[in-house]
Order: sequence, then C-alpha cells, then structure tokens
Amino acid sequence: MSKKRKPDFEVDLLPVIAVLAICISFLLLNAVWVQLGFVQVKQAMGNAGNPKDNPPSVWITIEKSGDIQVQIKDLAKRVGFPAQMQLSARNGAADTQSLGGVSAQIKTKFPDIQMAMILPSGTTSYETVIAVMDEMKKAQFTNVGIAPL
Amino acid sequence: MIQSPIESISYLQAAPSVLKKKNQGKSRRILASSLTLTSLVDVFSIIVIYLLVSTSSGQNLDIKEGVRLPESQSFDATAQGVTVEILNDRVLLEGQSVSLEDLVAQLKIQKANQNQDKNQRILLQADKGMPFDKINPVIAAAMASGFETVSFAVIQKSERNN
Repeated sequence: MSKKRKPDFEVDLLPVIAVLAICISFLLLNAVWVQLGFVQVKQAMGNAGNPKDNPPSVWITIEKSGDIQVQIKDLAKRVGFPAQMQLSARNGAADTQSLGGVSAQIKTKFPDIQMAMILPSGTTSYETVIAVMDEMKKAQFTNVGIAPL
Repeated sequence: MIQSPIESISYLQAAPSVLKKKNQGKSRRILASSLTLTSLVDVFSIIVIYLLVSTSSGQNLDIKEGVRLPESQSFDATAQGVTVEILNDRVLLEGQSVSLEDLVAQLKIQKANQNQDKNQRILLQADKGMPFDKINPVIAAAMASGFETVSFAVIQKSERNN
C-alpha cells in the first residue's frame, strides 16, 4: 500500500525576490528625480493693424543695472495708478519679488490687461528673464511675450 | 522537544557525538539556519510600489553636461517641438551643431519636415547664467522661420526655495 504524500505548502520566494529586484533596478534607472517643464511664450508675428487698436499691456524693461521699469500702455483710463514705476535692483540683481507684488496690484486694478511684454537688456541673464516671466504668469497675465533686442 | 535555549545548546553540543555514530567516525556539525525571506519580500514590494507611483512619463530632454536650467513655478509639464540648445560656443538644433547664419534656413526645413503639432513650437534650452544677447538671435530666428511659440526649458521650483 502506498503512503499518502503530505501536500507541501511551502512557497518558493526566491523567484519572487529575483523579479522584484529586477523591477527595482529598472525603476531606479528610469526614475525622474527632477521635474522638467517648459515656460511658453507666444511671439507676435507682426501687427499691421491700427496702433490705436492695440490691447492694453504692461511693459517690463530690465535694465543693465538690474533695475526694472514697469509701464502700462494703451490703457484708456488709468486712474489712481502711475503710468510708470521703477523698481531698483536688490543686491545687484533684479528685484523680481517686488515686481510680483506690483504685477498683482496692476492685475487687481485692471483685470482686463492680459498682455505683458518683457524687454531685457543684452546682459540680462536668462535666469532673470525666466524669473520675470514667472512672476507675470503668477499674476495671471495670460499673454506674456519677450521683445527681441 | 527542546524547551529552552540551554537545552538547545546542550543538544547542539551533543549533536556531533550523535552524528559521529551515524557517520561512522566522521564528525560533522549540521548548522541549521533559517533566513526570513518574507520581510525581504515586504521591503522589496514597498520599494517597487513607491517607485511605480513616483515615476512619471514626462518630457525626455537631453540636457548637456554643465547646463543648469533656470527654475520656475508656473510651467507646462510636457511639450513637443523642435529642440534648440544654446551652449557657450555653439548652437545645437536637434542635436546637430548649426551656425547662426544657417539657423533660419534649418528651422524652416524642420518646420516643413515635422508634423503639424510639433513644427509650431521651439523648445529652447540654455544655462541660467547665459546673457540674453546670446539667446536673442535664436528667438529672432524662430520668429523669422515662422514658429509662433517658444518654450523655455525650466526645472520645477519647489516652494521651499522661495
């Protein structure tokens, strides 16, 4: 008479560990530790229309010294707000923090203004230009552009 | 049945003598050791789940060594377009070195060759310390060749860095 074999309930974990180790190696090699993105700027292709029809816009001029000049242009009624403001550089760099506050004030007072044009100087660093664009986008200006030199 | 550690030690000490009898004079110690694999599988599973959750299929960009991208908080995660890299000594269009004089012509060729979605945007990469007068010719060339949108590659700025 043959003896009944007891069923073996042991689970072999070595293949599971091997598969998990390969998964971890693959995922570690492909992991994204730094999030990359893009700041989009739509460039004007030319305006052959009447200058009087230009929409109101904010012009930000970044000077070589780092000072920032903020101008509101083509706005019919600009009551209680200066046409031009100067933001002095802080520690030799453009004061983008103050620019953010001014942009927010402009947007609150004139919500119809959607366009912001940035005019950097030749020596303005790329980082400063991006920081200014960032502040304008945070202030909800939907149409941010960079004017060529 | 072994009840206490002391009994287990005495059992192990007695084991060689027991085996000696069985193996005809050859004394061998059998060391029984057990490795708990369940904990290892748990740790590996948690690591795999964490990596799966944190892995994102974002834009694959080839950033040149030494190029530090600027930081930004308001940006779009993905974009398709023609890649232009501005280095200190040269400009790369889709990985190929090109002179500024030929850039407009090459961009027009790229615009004609690519599909409708991709050819409307330029993906621009440059070091954050690059002066704007080196970036300006590329932007001007993009406008001259008919690209409406210029996208600047940035790194996400964490709120802790504010």
